[in-house]
Amino acid sequence: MSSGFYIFFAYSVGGIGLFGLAAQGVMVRRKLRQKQSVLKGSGV
Amino acid sequence: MQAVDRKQFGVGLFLMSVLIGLWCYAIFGVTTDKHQGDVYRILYLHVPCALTAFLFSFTLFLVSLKSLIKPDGSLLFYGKANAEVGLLLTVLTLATGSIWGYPTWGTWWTWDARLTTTLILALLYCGYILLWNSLPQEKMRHKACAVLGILIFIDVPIIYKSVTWWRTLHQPPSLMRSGGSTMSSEMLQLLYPSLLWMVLVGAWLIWLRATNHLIQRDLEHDILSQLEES
Repeated sequence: MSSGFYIFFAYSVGGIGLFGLAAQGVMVRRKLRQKQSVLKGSGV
Repeated sequence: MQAVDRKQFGVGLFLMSVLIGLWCYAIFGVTTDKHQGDVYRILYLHVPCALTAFLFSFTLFLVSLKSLIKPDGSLLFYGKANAEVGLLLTVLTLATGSIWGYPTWGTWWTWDARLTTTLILALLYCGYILLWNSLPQEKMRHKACAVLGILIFIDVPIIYKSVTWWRTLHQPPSLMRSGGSTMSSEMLQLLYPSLLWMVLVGAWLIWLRATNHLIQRDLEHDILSQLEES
Protein backbone atom coordinates (compact mmCIF):
# COMPACT_ATOMS: atom_id res chain seq x y z
CA MET A 1 0.00 0.00 0.00
CA SER A 2 1.20 3.52 -0.71
CA SER A 3 2.20 5.95 2.03
CA GLY A 4 -0.85 8.07 1.10
CA PHE A 5 -3.10 5.32 2.47
CA TYR A 6 -1.36 5.33 5.87
CA ILE A 7 -1.44 9.14 6.07
CA PHE A 8 -5.15 9.21 5.18
CA PHE A 9 -5.86 6.39 7.67
CA ALA A 10 -3.98 8.10 10.53
CA TYR A 11 -5.56 11.55 10.01
CA SER A 12 -9.02 9.98 9.60
CA VAL A 13 -8.63 8.19 12.94
CA GLY A 14 -7.43 11.45 14.53
CA GLY A 15 -10.30 13.41 12.99
CA ILE A 16 -12.96 10.91 14.04
CA GLY A 17 -11.59 10.86 17.60
CA LEU A 18 -11.20 14.60 18.16
CA PHE A 19 -14.16 15.90 16.16
CA GLY A 20 -16.31 13.02 17.36
CA LEU A 21 -15.68 13.87 21.01
CA ALA A 22 -16.36 17.55 20.32
CA ALA A 23 -19.63 16.78 18.48
CA GLN A 24 -20.73 14.43 21.27
CA GLY A 25 -20.05 17.17 23.83
CA VAL A 26 -22.10 19.71 21.87
CA MET A 27 -25.04 17.29 21.46
CA VAL A 28 -25.01 16.40 25.16
CA ARG A 29 -25.03 20.13 26.01
CA ARG A 30 -28.09 20.70 23.84
CA LYS A 31 -29.94 17.80 25.48
CA LEU A 32 -29.01 19.07 28.95
CA ARG A 33 -30.30 22.56 28.12
CA GLN A 34 -33.54 21.04 26.80
CA LYS A 35 -33.94 19.08 30.04
CA GLN A 36 -33.25 22.25 32.03
CA SER A 37 -35.93 24.22 30.16
CA VAL A 38 -38.47 21.35 30.52
CA LEU A 39 -37.74 21.18 34.25
CA LYS A 40 -38.21 24.93 34.68
CA GLY A 41 -41.43 24.87 32.66
CA SER A 42 -43.05 21.84 34.30
CA GLY A 43 -42.15 22.60 37.91
CA VAL A 44 -41.63 18.90 38.68
CA MET B 1 -28.98 28.33 22.96
CA GLN B 2 -27.50 30.23 25.90
CA ALA B 3 -24.87 32.94 25.38
CA VAL B 4 -22.27 30.98 27.37
CA ASP B 5 -22.80 27.94 25.13
CA ARG B 6 -22.58 30.03 21.97
CA LYS B 7 -19.28 31.48 23.16
CA GLN B 8 -17.90 28.05 24.06
CA PHE B 9 -18.99 26.49 20.75
CA GLY B 10 -17.56 29.47 18.83
CA VAL B 11 -14.16 29.03 20.46
CA GLY B 12 -14.30 25.32 19.61
CA LEU B 13 -15.23 26.00 15.98
CA PHE B 14 -12.28 28.38 15.63
CA LEU B 15 -9.83 25.92 17.25
CA MET B 16 -11.07 23.02 15.12
CA SER B 17 -10.90 25.07 11.90
CA VAL B 18 -7.26 26.04 12.53
CA LEU B 19 -6.47 22.40 13.42
CA ILE B 20 -7.87 21.27 10.04
CA GLY B 21 -5.71 23.95 8.37
CA LEU B 22 -2.59 22.68 10.16
CA TRP B 23 -3.39 19.09 9.18
CA CYS B 24 -3.91 20.09 5.53
CA TYR B 25 -0.52 21.83 5.57
CA ALA B 26 1.07 18.74 7.18
CA ILE B 27 -0.43 16.46 4.50
CA PHE B 28 0.00 18.63 1.39
CA GLY B 29 2.35 21.51 2.28
CA VAL B 30 5.58 20.31 3.92
CA THR B 31 8.35 18.71 1.89
CA THR B 32 8.92 14.94 1.86
CA ASP B 33 11.44 13.47 4.28
CA LYS B 34 14.38 11.90 2.41
CA HIS B 35 14.67 8.94 4.83
CA GLN B 36 11.05 7.97 5.52
CA GLY B 37 9.27 9.45 2.53
CA ASP B 38 5.74 10.84 2.84
CA VAL B 39 4.61 8.59 5.68
CA TYR B 40 6.53 10.76 8.17
CA ARG B 41 3.67 13.31 7.84
CA ILE B 42 1.86 11.29 10.55
CA LEU B 43 4.42 12.87 12.93
CA TYR B 44 2.38 16.12 13.02
CA LEU B 45 -0.56 14.22 14.49
CA HIS B 46 1.18 11.48 16.52
CA VAL B 47 3.68 13.63 18.47
CA PRO B 48 1.19 16.40 19.46
CA CYS B 49 -1.31 13.73 20.61
CA ALA B 50 1.36 11.99 22.69
CA LEU B 51 2.82 15.11 24.33
CA THR B 52 -0.64 16.55 25.05
CA ALA B 53 -1.74 13.25 26.64
CA PHE B 54 1.36 13.41 28.87
CA LEU B 55 0.73 17.07 29.70
CA PHE B 56 -2.86 16.27 30.68
CA SER B 57 -1.66 13.57 33.05
CA PHE B 58 0.31 16.37 34.75
CA THR B 59 -2.78 18.62 34.94
CA LEU B 60 -4.73 15.65 36.35
CA PHE B 61 -1.96 15.26 38.93
CA LEU B 62 -2.29 18.94 39.92
CA VAL B 63 -6.11 18.75 40.08
CA SER B 64 -5.89 15.56 42.18
CA LEU B 65 -3.31 17.07 44.53
CA LYS B 66 -5.42 20.20 45.06
CA SER B 67 -8.47 18.00 45.50
CA LEU B 68 -6.75 16.06 48.29
CA ILE B 69 -5.49 19.18 50.06
CA LYS B 70 -8.67 21.21 49.72
CA PRO B 71 -11.69 19.16 48.56
CA ASP B 72 -13.76 20.98 45.95
CA GLY B 73 -16.79 19.35 44.33
CA SER B 74 -16.46 21.19 41.02
CA LEU B 75 -12.74 20.49 40.65
CA LEU B 76 -13.35 16.75 40.60
CA PHE B 77 -15.53 17.14 37.49
CA TYR B 78 -12.61 18.82 35.76
CA GLY B 79 -10.53 15.82 36.79
CA LYS B 80 -12.99 13.46 35.15
CA ALA B 81 -13.09 15.53 31.94
CA ASN B 82 -9.28 15.67 32.01
CA ALA B 83 -9.06 11.87 32.24
CA GLU B 84 -11.57 11.42 29.38
CA VAL B 85 -9.65 13.72 27.03
CA GLY B 86 -6.34 12.22 28.21
CA LEU B 87 -7.67 8.74 27.37
CA LEU B 88 -8.74 9.83 23.88
CA LEU B 89 -5.32 11.39 23.18
CA THR B 90 -3.47 8.32 24.49
CA VAL B 91 -5.60 6.02 22.32
CA LEU B 92 -4.94 8.30 19.32
CA THR B 93 -1.21 8.19 20.11
CA LEU B 94 -1.28 4.39 20.07
CA ALA B 95 -3.46 4.22 16.94
CA THR B 96 -1.48 6.73 14.87
CA GLY B 97 1.80 5.24 16.12
CA SER B 98 0.60 1.81 15.04
CA ILE B 99 -0.41 3.11 11.58
CA TRP B 100 2.99 4.81 11.25
CA GLY B 101 4.76 1.72 12.62
CA TYR B 102 3.48 -0.71 10.01
CA PRO B 103 5.16 0.86 6.93
CA THR B 104 8.33 1.79 8.86
CA TRP B 105 8.84 -1.15 11.27
CA GLY B 106 6.83 -3.78 9.39
CA THR B 107 4.48 -4.45 12.32
CA TRP B 108 1.30 -2.86 13.70
CA TRP B 109 2.20 -3.66 17.30
CA THR B 110 5.12 -4.94 19.33
CA TRP B 111 5.51 -5.28 23.11
CA ASP B 112 8.15 -2.57 23.03
CA ALA B 113 8.78 -0.67 26.31
CA ARG B 114 7.55 2.68 24.91
CA LEU B 115 4.39 1.17 23.42
CA THR B 116 3.62 -0.95 26.48
CA THR B 117 4.06 1.91 28.97
CA THR B 118 1.82 4.11 26.79
CA LEU B 119 -0.79 1.34 26.75
CA ILE B 120 -0.55 1.25 30.56
CA LEU B 121 -1.26 5.01 30.59
CA ALA B 122 -4.43 4.41 28.52
CA LEU B 123 -5.51 1.64 30.93
CA LEU B 124 -4.84 3.92 33.92
CA TYR B 125 -7.02 6.65 32.38
CA CYS B 126 -9.72 3.97 31.82
CA GLY B 127 -9.36 2.94 35.46
CA TYR B 128 -9.83 6.54 36.61
CA ILE B 129 -13.07 6.91 34.62
CA LEU B 130 -14.37 3.52 35.82
CA LEU B 131 -13.54 4.38 39.44
CA TRP B 132 -15.22 7.77 39.08
CA ASN B 133 -18.40 6.20 37.72
CA SER B 134 -18.47 3.30 40.18
CA LEU B 135 -18.33 5.38 43.37
CA PRO B 136 -21.64 7.13 44.06
CA GLN B 137 -20.59 8.75 47.34
CA GLU B 138 -18.88 12.06 46.62
CA LYS B 139 -16.50 11.95 49.61
CA MET B 140 -15.22 8.47 48.77
CA ARG B 141 -14.98 9.29 45.06
CA HIS B 142 -13.02 12.41 45.92
CA LYS B 143 -10.25 10.60 47.77
CA ALA B 144 -10.02 7.50 45.58
CA CYS B 145 -9.92 9.43 42.29
CA ALA B 146 -7.42 11.95 43.66
CA VAL B 147 -5.04 9.16 44.70
CA LEU B 148 -5.38 7.43 41.30
CA GLY B 149 -4.94 10.78 39.52
CA ILE B 150 -1.59 11.22 41.30
CA LEU B 151 -0.53 7.63 40.53
CA ILE B 152 -1.29 8.05 36.79
CA PHE B 153 1.35 10.77 36.51
CA ILE B 154 4.07 8.38 37.75
CA ASP B 155 3.78 6.49 34.44
CA VAL B 156 4.76 9.51 32.31
CA PRO B 157 8.47 9.77 33.31
CA ILE B 158 8.66 5.97 32.79
CA ILE B 159 7.23 6.40 29.25
CA TYR B 160 9.72 9.20 28.56
CA LYS B 161 12.75 7.26 29.83
CA SER B 162 11.63 3.87 28.44
CA VAL B 163 13.53 4.38 25.18
CA THR B 164 16.79 5.03 27.05
CA TRP B 165 16.35 2.50 29.89
CA TRP B 166 15.51 -0.43 27.61
CA ARG B 167 16.45 -1.45 24.07
CA THR B 168 13.37 -0.57 22.05
CA LEU B 169 12.14 -0.53 18.48
CA HIS B 170 10.86 2.99 19.08
CA GLN B 171 13.38 5.68 18.29
CA PRO B 172 15.16 7.54 21.15
CA PRO B 173 14.00 11.09 22.03
CA SER B 174 14.49 13.48 19.11
CA LEU B 175 12.52 16.49 20.33
CA MET B 176 12.93 16.80 24.11
CA ARG B 177 16.56 15.78 24.68
CA SER B 178 19.70 17.30 26.15
CA GLY B 179 21.77 19.00 23.45
CA GLY B 180 18.73 20.17 21.50
CA SER B 181 16.41 18.57 18.99
CA THR B 182 17.79 16.38 16.19
CA MET B 183 14.90 17.33 13.90
CA SER B 184 15.28 19.78 11.04
CA SER B 185 14.13 23.37 11.54
CA GLU B 186 11.55 22.94 8.75
CA MET B 187 9.92 20.07 10.65
CA LEU B 188 9.96 22.02 13.91
CA GLN B 189 8.33 25.04 12.25
CA LEU B 190 5.15 23.00 11.83
CA LEU B 191 5.54 20.66 14.80
CA TYR B 192 5.53 23.40 17.44
CA PRO B 193 2.32 25.10 16.19
CA SER B 194 0.68 21.64 15.85
CA LEU B 195 1.66 20.84 19.42
CA LEU B 196 0.39 24.18 20.74
CA TRP B 197 -2.88 23.75 18.87
CA MET B 198 -3.42 20.21 20.13
CA VAL B 199 -2.98 21.50 23.71
CA LEU B 200 -5.56 24.24 23.04
CA VAL B 201 -8.03 21.82 21.41
CA GLY B 202 -7.55 19.37 24.30
CA ALA B 203 -8.06 22.15 26.87
CA TRP B 204 -11.24 23.21 25.07
CA LEU B 205 -12.53 19.61 25.08
CA ILE B 206 -11.88 19.44 28.84
CA TRP B 207 -13.73 22.73 29.33
CA LEU B 208 -16.69 21.49 27.24
CA ARG B 209 -16.97 18.14 28.99
CA ALA B 210 -16.41 19.52 32.51
CA THR B 211 -19.16 22.12 31.93
CA ASN B 212 -21.48 19.31 30.75
CA HIS B 213 -20.72 17.26 33.87
CA LEU B 214 -21.41 20.27 36.10
CA ILE B 215 -24.72 21.05 34.32
CA GLN B 216 -25.70 17.37 34.70
CA ARG B 217 -24.90 17.49 38.42
CA ASP B 218 -26.94 20.69 38.93
CA LEU B 219 -29.81 19.20 36.93
CA GLU B 220 -29.88 16.05 39.07
CA HIS B 221 -29.72 18.21 42.19
CA ASP B 222 -32.63 20.38 40.97
CA ILE B 223 -34.77 17.33 40.15
CA LEU B 224 -34.13 15.80 43.57
CA SER B 225 -34.84 19.02 45.46
CA GLN B 226 -38.06 19.67 43.49
CA LEU B 227 -39.24 16.10 44.09
CA GLU B 228 -38.56 16.50 47.83
CA GLU B 229 -40.54 19.74 47.89
CA SER B 230 -43.51 18.19 46.13
